[in-house]
Amino acid sequence: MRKLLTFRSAGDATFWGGCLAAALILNFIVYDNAVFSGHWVVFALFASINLMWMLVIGTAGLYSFATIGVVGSAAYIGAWISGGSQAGEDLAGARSLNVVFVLLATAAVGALYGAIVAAPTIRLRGVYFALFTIGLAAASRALIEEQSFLGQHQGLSGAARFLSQDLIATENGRTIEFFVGLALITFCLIVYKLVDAGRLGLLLRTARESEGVARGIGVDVVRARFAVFIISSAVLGMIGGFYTSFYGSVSLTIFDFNTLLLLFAMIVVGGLGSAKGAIVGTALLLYIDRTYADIDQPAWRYIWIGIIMFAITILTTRGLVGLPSQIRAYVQRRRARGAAGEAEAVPTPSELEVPGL
Amino acid sequence: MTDLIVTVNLAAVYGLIAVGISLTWAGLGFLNLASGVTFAASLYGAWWAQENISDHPAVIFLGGIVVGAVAGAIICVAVFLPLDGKPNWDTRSMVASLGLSLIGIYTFFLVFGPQRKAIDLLFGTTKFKIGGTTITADKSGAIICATIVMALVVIGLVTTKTGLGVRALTQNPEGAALVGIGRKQAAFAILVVSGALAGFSAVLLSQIFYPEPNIGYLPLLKGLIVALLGGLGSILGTVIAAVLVAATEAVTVHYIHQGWVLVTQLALIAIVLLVRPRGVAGILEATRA
Repeated sequence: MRKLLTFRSAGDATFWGGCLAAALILNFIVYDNAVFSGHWVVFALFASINLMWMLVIGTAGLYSFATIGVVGSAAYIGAWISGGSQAGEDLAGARSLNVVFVLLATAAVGALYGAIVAAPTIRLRGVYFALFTIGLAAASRALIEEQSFLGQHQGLSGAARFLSQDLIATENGRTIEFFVGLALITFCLIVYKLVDAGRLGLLLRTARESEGVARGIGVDVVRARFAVFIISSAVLGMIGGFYTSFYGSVSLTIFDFNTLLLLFAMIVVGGLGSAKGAIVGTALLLYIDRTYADIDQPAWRYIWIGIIMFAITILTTRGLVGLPSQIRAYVQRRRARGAAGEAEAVPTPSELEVPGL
Repeated sequence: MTDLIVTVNLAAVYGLIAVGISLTWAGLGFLNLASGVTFAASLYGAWWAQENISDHPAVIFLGGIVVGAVAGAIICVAVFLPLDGKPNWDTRSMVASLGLSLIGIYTFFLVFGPQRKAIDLLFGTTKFKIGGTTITADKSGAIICATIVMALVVIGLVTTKTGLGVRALTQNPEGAALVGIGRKQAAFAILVVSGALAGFSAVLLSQIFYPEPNIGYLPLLKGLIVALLGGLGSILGTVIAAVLVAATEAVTVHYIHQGWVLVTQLALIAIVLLVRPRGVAGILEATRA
């Protein structure tokens, strides 16, 4: 508990406190706004996915792109076990299950997916793992598309939701969705912090910096990576469960490659290896995405996302959250150079001495 | 027999895309995720040449190849040169190429719209039979052209000074730098040639993959799968992997279903990488040893 409440710096405490305050104030101001509510749910889902992805990419240094595959597969299973059916069919009540049970089941599906993926591939080197998981996400979609009980092209609808029918699109319903979203982000932050600041995080960072050194001091690198992959996959699976419980339906668009790119852009723009980066990147790019989503030329949103992604990558070493320290280091270097230049320009007493005197 | 023809056809074209990806990774440590948009740009280049210059196949090919090469040069100038040698180079170069890819794809949306364009049949409508199987001019033309270009790439790598530099970079980057091989010049050559190869493959596949903004995703994925299975950096490994991947695709489509292609291809990769983490190139090394 003490570990959870300990912040690395006063800036960290201010940041997280500010985020919480901003979310609560925003909700208080626009609590009856359906558009805000819709965006908040998407933010909660994306930020949670990114926090878990950050554990795998940032803390463990494993370039996994299976994220969307885990979330999508678990969302489909969650929708199916909670009564979802192919559009047009009426199976309501046939498999209807409690939402809490659905979340637990989807977490188990996520963990199983993670174990099946990681068992044969976790030993692969960085780029091989990355390429394998990119293909895996596409294969997950292809596999689900082939299953008639999962609705094929039409997807599943009518799954169990957090909100009962009479609460949907009401003020109370939106407030419940806000706090469920906030709880989801908080849960993912706790998992992130427990892993990242804990012993597992230390082992993973050591292995990320130098696998040889880590093995030399007795770290079981494969086991540590396997553990973080299973933990993050279980939570990603649960996020898939949240997805179906928020919307009551799921379709193949959840596997959209553009969504994967958008999520990856968020963590890169925010800054790899930090929870703050995941939140900042998600907020910024989601704002751009939603701003341009409804205008005449929606292509502009991806162009802007691409430009920001490209510019941040070229100009910063650790994304937006690393920018202040990069600027400080730059200013210090300039000052040091300036001081060195002045020292060269001002003659030392020995240089002023006249030879022979 | 039909499966064999389909296999050879796909292998020839996938091999060309994968060679570019493989050389870029092995020589520069750069996973170029903008290869897909290069593919799409080349298709638009070929289509533009057909509509505005001439519908002669040579002009269409030239349009695709030139645009592919220019796209490669842009990637070099925009991504490689500013980031080479900087901290987190491998991650940042990959992400920057992804950013560039997004910009490119959605610029195509704005300029050309979401509708597909059509490119004429490049090798005519002739058909001939081998052992009872009808082979279209399109397939045989693609196989012959891709084989010739692949052979030219290998010859270029073996006989030219630039090729020697590229091979040195893929085998030992530090050693290459010590003997004075310019990394920037080699990078330019690799990226331009990779772009041109992607352009050439795009035109060869233009009867399957029509010019449309998002079209580069699947060829990029196939190229990555082949390059990964081949063992990044090995030309022979890439060629063998292209045949394996294409054969898996042909057999899956014939005996199971089109929707299972990626699943069976990934299963193949998992099996090969479990045995040899460096892919087919690793198997070749073990065989030589």
